[in-house]
Amino acid sequence: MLDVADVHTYYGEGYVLQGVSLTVEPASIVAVLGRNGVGKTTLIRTVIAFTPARRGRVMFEDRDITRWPSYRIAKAGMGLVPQGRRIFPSLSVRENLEIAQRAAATDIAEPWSLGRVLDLFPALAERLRNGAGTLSGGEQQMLTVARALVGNPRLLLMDEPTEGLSPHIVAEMKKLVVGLRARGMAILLVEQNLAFALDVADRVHVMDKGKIVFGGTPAELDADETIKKTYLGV
Amino acid sequence: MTFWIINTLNGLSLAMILFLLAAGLTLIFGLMHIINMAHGSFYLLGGYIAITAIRLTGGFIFGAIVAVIAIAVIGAIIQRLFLARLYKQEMRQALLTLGLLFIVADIAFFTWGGDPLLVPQPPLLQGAVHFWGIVYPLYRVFLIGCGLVIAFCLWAFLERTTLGAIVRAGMDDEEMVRGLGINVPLVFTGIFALGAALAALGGVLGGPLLGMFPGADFEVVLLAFVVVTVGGLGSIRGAFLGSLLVGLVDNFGNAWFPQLSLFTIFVPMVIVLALKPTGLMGRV
Repeated sequence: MLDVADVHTYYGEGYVLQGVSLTVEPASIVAVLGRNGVGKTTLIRTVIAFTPARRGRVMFEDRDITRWPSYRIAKAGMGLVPQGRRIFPSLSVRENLEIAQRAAATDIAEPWSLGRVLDLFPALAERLRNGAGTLSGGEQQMLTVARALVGNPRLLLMDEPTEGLSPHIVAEMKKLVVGLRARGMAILLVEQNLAFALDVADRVHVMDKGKIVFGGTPAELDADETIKKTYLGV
Repeated sequence: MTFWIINTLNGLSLAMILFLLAAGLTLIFGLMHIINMAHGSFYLLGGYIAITAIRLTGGFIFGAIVAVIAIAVIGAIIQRLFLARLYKQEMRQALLTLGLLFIVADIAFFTWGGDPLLVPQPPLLQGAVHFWGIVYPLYRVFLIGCGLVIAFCLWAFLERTTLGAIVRAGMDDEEMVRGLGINVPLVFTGIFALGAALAALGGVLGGPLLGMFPGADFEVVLLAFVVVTVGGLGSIRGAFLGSLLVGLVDNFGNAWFPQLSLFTIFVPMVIVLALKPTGLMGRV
């Protein structure tokens, strides 16, 4: 469904992604782990073309989207839960969701409507009229996920969705992503939280200095003390 | 008492013209971070095109519609052809619009000459209203009414429609809006055209009072920048408040200290900025 093939991405002269390849299958979660600054967020930004790859290719459902504008990629069925949440603080909770709404492709059995998303996040339903900037951190993270879901994506890009959340809310998030996968969603998850990634992912990759240095199942990574110690500091 | 009422009404009518300019300026800056010097050109061309269209056909409303649509199209073309290519290069965009201001000024001088031209008042609105022993031009009352209605419509558009919410979201985080699948480049063009159209409408409606002449573009864009700075960049409410403040201060200033006209405009701006650097309602 998503096929990233040998992408090289720069910020100006800064050479960040130095040939990254990975694939995400439908109804699966692929996690990318690594320390701060190794290029995980850049990988997400490359896929959604906020910072397009200078070389290499990004295929989404067999279409080459490398040179597409971001809005067209998102419209084609990709949702984004960005790092730092990036809700729109001058909009109400309802407006945050309304502008993101997009009709589902016809083959989706139960598309995400505003109502169904609010059933999933009752805390947001109570605060629809509030300014999104007044929500707590956990509520803002829920709003970011809800905002991505009402766009009815088939692939979800999640950049550190557990960052700064309490253990209780992290547990909720775990249930949520596993539930989304059960409904057929593909998820590319970038994380620093090793335990969370090992718990939910079908495949894990470890990045260092713009390259992927490990790829395998969560069990294989968990067993590889050298990789964990060298690249993840655990 | 008559002095106060007349000068307040005069201040309000100037404020409405300024608001039409400042509203577009503040939206364009808030969303695209473009300091659009060419906004004065849109005002000037709007007024001149209306004058020509009214001369040819005789209808004020027809002239107004022609001018507003023409400038909206020109604005959209300028944004697409030039400004969109300089995306996020704020200094180059500002210089480009400054260049456009000069080019348009020369074209306008070549086409309409150097003598001041008034936009003809619609015949229905000539004459005066009488109240409390005051005689006041009907056209100015009409202008104030128009300004209030447009201000309300803009507010309703921004605060009560989904498209308005998209514009506000774009002011918060334009990249993230693109990430939601919204065609932000198209929204940019639309808002730029809307701003240009409002400036042209300012020229049409203000034309019967202020007239069009070489230099009117710069004069009015300077005042509009004062308005936007006082009101706070990116805020329609701020543009409205700023327009009222600048319009009234300018009028009373001119009535009391006619020799200090620029001074009376910039002193309030300096005071507001000293107390609140982001302007009255500013977000940046």
